[in-house]
Amino acid sequence: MPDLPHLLAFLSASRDVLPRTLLLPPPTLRPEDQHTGPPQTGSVHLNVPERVLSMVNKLYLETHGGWGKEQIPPETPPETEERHSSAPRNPAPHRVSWMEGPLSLEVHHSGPDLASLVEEKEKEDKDEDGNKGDYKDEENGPEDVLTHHIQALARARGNYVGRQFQSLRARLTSNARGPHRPGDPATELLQDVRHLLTDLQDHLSKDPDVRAVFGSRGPGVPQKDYDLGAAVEAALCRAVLAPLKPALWARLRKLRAQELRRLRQRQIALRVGAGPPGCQGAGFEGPGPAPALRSRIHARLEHLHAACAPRRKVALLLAVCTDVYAGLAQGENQEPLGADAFLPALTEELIWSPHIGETQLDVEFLMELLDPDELRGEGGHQKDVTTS
Amino acid sequence: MAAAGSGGGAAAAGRAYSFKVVLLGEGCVGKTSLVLRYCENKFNDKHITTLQASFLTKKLNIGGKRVNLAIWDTAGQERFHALGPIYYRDSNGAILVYDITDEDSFQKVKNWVKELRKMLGNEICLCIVGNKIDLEKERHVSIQEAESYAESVGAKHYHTSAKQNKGIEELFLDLCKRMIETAQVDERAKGNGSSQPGSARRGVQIIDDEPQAQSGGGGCCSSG
Repeated sequence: MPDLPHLLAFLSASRDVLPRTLLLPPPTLRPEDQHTGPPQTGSVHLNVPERVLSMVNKLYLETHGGWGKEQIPPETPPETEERHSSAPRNPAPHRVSWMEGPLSLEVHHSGPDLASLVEEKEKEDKDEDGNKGDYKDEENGPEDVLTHHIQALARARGNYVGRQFQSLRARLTSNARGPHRPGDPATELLQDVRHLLTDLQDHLSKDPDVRAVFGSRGPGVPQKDYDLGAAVEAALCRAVLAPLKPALWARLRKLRAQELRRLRQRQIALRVGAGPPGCQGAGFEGPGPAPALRSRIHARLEHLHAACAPRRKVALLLAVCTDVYAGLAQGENQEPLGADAFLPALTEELIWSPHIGETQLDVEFLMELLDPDELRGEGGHQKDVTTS
Repeated sequence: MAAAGSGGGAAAAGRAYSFKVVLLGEGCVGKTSLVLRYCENKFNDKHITTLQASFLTKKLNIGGKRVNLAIWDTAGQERFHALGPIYYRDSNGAILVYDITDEDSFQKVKNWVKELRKMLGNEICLCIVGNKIDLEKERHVSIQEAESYAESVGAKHYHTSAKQNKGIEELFLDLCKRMIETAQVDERAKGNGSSQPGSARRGVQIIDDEPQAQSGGGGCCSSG
């Protein structure tokens, strides 16, 4: 299904189409919710004066151990990136997620939210494993021998993969614009990322060493029906895209700062004057989803942003859509619902999403990276994901 | 795998056309009902995707040519009009639906036609559909006016009733045949796969597909 990105785009576009603003409930932050001390594991904390919400991902800490605190990174120098990419540890950049700005009411469901977040993450991982064989998400760590091989190539100088990777990384951390195209800088940047990935995938798929590595992955690795191209693509996401991600996102945020600010302002405007979430202040039909479902949708959007591989992001976005439909199906009407019902419901979820800016960038990322004419194999895969 | 620009014989050589069709029209004219009726087994999981009736797929075999149809439903509410371009971009076909008992909904169709022709030119196959012909007694849109309008803008006109399942199969089958013709013309124009990557329209891809049994009867439509 090659046109999923079009649907994804309404995540960003739908903010423009509401006829009037929603009603916002009076602030209900309780004094006990305010927290100024250091973050603690397995909790959600509000720092109201500084308008900061901190969430500690207990699952991450349990899985990976240790304690670290990394804010959404600023521009990262190449040296740091290289160390990051070569470190034999999880490449996911966030140990603590920070969200700034006005808070939705969902923050009060801290305990259940974390629990559902853990549960959902596990479920999604299982789903993905089931759907994609041994395709691994980047959160699983660069354990695959193919990933190690590509990482080594990317780190080294004097080979094609290393040169291409290091060239784009340098560009991400400088103000230089890419060659040839005079278009929008953010689009241009994402197109360069796509070209890098497709180019390297094409190059590596033909590389005898990569073929040898792929063929010798050990008896435990199922190889039947496993496509070399898909394996290289997955490994590239872990070995090349993941190390570039912090700098790429920092750059995108910078390039899109004005748009994101306007988006946030529009979102706040739509919240202001709205009734409590689910009260349908903008004329939405039917009841809104239960708070737990809404929390799950927002948690999925956060996972979507944390994910690196486009396929993973698509799977999570579709999971969001499934949840939106689940929220609509609370009544007795069990007929499949069309866009008339779906779009207003999704719009409302976005109005209350604390991740709307990140979702906007995620959508833009997918729109640019998932062109099936360029990203070979992606179109067929999207079709499978969407129709499954 | 995405081999847009392959020769016209590609479909016969074990591959299938992949077409995107968008449903446009005012709210409550029956867009969702039409597509659900077309995919017929409303509660058959094979048709109901993650996106439920917002996005449905159907596989067809038309004269030996296999077609994967992706049908995008759109929200008819006016406030979602701005999303139109997101949906119709790269569509191979558009089904513009109006309610024969609602003159305003026919005017909306005219607006969509203008927009589509302006944005996409003649690349897209247009179908104008007067739905709810089971309510013939309440008709407020003249058949003659609708059909002559459709002809004047290069579209084909159809009369349907989602409620009574009339005219819908014909509508989609006809549209598919037209889209195949358009795709074949495109393919011939591009030559034998000599086009540059990225220059082909995204919507007209020839994709690998698993073997699919020919349908019985006239070899027309097999869903699933």
